[in-house]
Amino acid sequence: MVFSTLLFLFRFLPISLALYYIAPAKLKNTVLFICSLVFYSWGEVRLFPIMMVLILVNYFSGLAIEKFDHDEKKRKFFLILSIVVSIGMLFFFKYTDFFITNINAISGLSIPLLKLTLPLGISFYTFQTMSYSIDVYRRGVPAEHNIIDFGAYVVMFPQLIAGPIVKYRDVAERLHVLKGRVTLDRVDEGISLFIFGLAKKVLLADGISALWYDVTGHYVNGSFEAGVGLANASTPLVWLGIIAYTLQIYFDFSGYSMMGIGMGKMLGFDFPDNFDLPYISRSITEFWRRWHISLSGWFKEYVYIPLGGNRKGYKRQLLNIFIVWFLTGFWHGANWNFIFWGLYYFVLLMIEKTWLLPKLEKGKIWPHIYTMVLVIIGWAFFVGSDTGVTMPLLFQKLFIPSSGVSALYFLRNYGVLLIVGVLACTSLTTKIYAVLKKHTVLRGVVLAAVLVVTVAYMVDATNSPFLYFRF
Amino acid sequence: MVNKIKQYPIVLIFFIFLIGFSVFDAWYPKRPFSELENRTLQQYPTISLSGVLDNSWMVKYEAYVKDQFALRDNWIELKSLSETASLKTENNDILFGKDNYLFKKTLAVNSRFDTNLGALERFTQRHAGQVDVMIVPSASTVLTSLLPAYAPIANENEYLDKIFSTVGSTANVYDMREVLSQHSGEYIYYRTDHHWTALGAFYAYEQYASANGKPVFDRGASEAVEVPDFYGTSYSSARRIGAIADTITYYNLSNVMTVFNTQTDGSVTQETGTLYDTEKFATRDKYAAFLRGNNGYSEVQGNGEGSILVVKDSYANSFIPYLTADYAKIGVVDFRANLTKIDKIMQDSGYDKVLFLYSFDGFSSDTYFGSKIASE
Repeated sequence: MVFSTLLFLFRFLPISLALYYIAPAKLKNTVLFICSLVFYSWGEVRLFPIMMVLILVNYFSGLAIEKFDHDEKKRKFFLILSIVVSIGMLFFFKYTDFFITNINAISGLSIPLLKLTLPLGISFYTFQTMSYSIDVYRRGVPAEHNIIDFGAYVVMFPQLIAGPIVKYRDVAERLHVLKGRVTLDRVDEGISLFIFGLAKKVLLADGISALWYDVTGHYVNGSFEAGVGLANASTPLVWLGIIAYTLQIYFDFSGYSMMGIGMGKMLGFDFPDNFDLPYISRSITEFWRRWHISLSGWFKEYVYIPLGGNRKGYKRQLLNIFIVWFLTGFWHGANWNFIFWGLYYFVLLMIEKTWLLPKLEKGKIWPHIYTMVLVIIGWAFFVGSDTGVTMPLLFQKLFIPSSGVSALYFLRNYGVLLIVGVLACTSLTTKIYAVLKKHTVLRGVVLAAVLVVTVAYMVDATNSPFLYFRF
Repeated sequence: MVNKIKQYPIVLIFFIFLIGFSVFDAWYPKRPFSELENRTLQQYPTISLSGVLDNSWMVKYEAYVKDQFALRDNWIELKSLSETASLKTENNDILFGKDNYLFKKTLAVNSRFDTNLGALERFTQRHAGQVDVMIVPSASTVLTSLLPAYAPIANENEYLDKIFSTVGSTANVYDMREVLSQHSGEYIYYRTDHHWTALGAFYAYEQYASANGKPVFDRGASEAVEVPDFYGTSYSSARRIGAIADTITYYNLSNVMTVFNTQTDGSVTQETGTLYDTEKFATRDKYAAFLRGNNGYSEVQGNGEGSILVVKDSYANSFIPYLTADYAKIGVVDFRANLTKIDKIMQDSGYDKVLFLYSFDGFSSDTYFGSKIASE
């Protein structure tokens, strides 16, 4: 189920929230678990057993790791078992075809592709279950004894599909608060976050995405709607298009996270932040501290540091950073362009680390320009495998000036939206939010207006998938 | 608790709206059909185990919630208003042109084009000299000065050139760009609909009849009836605030036509009436009055000599009435509702010639006629 649909907003959400609020304290997690399973299974009932297996394996592994507290071998066995199941699922569904394609290409074989449906959110919830069993193994958090509570954590609908990647220890405490879990100040803030997140997605991301799709074309309800075509577009139009994509992916993803965090608050949970105005960064290093924070944190905690981090010499650190960025890229998609995208950031971060960072810190305007230009070029790698895009053509169009369909019409048509979009990437939003927080009436009026307009766009929407659903 | 809630008015209002509107929406009367969007709406899908297990029920239920959403038309109106307020020059792939004209935003010619042209080529080769081909340019190709500035509309001209050069040696081709451009200051395309007007169709017809040495339909001899308040397909998509309604003009002719409807059991029913289904003029979909809509096969009684078979999309519906001046019998085939192959139709009814009449957009996107004309 997708957050930005009428089905979610006017059927699933009110029913789930009502049941959750009415349910006695002891049954709240059960209600949350069942509602979340409905949410998860809505798009693909067949994938229901996969979720069950994932929950059961991790639940029992957690218990076993705790039970064999003094038996290191057994502890390790159950940790590895749970990780193998989580990674195995992710690998099987997401990466098998990528490897078959490459093996076929190298060996000349023609092993048939599996063409599996990617279970919704598998990249996110397998990372969450891994964080759980690793944390239990490290004795950082006690194992969850109640399977319903554990299931509710794994499939919890606000963060199930596109994050933030919530670690079990982040929510374990609230999960066991029975009395007074739902507090009015949390609900109040949650509503604001949810509505602004929804508007970010529907009004900004979907609105601006139309520009990029005008250039490349895209699928609407299964049939391809052609655009101008990359080959026919002029260089300024391709730049405008990739800038539009830059805005789209940010609003899409951060809007989703915001809705997730907001609904988490409505349910009485505090999820970690996932975005902190990434486009105002003054270096790539800073950008990655502000973009998809829960993923970077996950890789740092469960990959980089266990590999030795910076404690085993410079060469080893370099290798560790390389591994992290290779995995970050690959996590985003089973295709070479995502690996390039990850390694592109590895190179940039290494340059900054060894030489550039002190200079960037002294600069005023140019570090912003430097960062944004490189981030935008990064997104060109990122979209390289999308429908209607081929990476060589895209880069040729970006860097070798060519004529073609002009950007003027698109600037005129999307102008206001682009300006609003750019402003919404800056700290202006935080300032406005701070003012609204102080003035309840004003905030109420703004929220009501934003929600009503957003619903209007949802009613008339033809196509509104989340980009991060593919990951 | 009640006092505490008073400190959080937003929480109270949000839940009243969320639950209140959901209940209101569930209770709100359901419609079978949206006149404004001119399409049938999803009805409540009966739940079944198999439907749930293969997810088909969920897909239908979601479409049902969206299609039947309370005050749907008003919400769509609000979105259009908001698009206008944000200075957009289009909505739902309809461009806002000058003089209140709405144009379809065609960024690229449909990929069916080559397949369809190939099929037409084989058809004209099989019946060399017997086929007339008229592909009508879109409003955006003729009324170029009314397009929004720098509108990135795909260049139809090179495709039209390709059609006429491909079939030019085997068929008689009628390129209407010049004659329509000469009259581009007149009311030859509807503002709010993707069709040409009866006047636009007349200019094309006039050239067609003269080229064939036929007498030209006398517009003064029959009563011209005007039907106001026509908001067409482009308006339905764009819901442009401040759009100006079109006026449909038609000639009240005494000719009759017979529509042959093939029923699901294979039997054929006949219905005879005038060339206009005047009841349609009272509905939103007024253009459907012309030639009683898009029927699989029908025959029009003319006042001239000989017979002609018109293979067409809906552009022909306002063109065919003029042909009554020139032919005794006009067969009309719309392959969107006819499964018979063209050679069979020609054989069965023994037509002297065939006019292949499509709008450019219809020609390049149609998925039906190709297989019916490509081979015998």
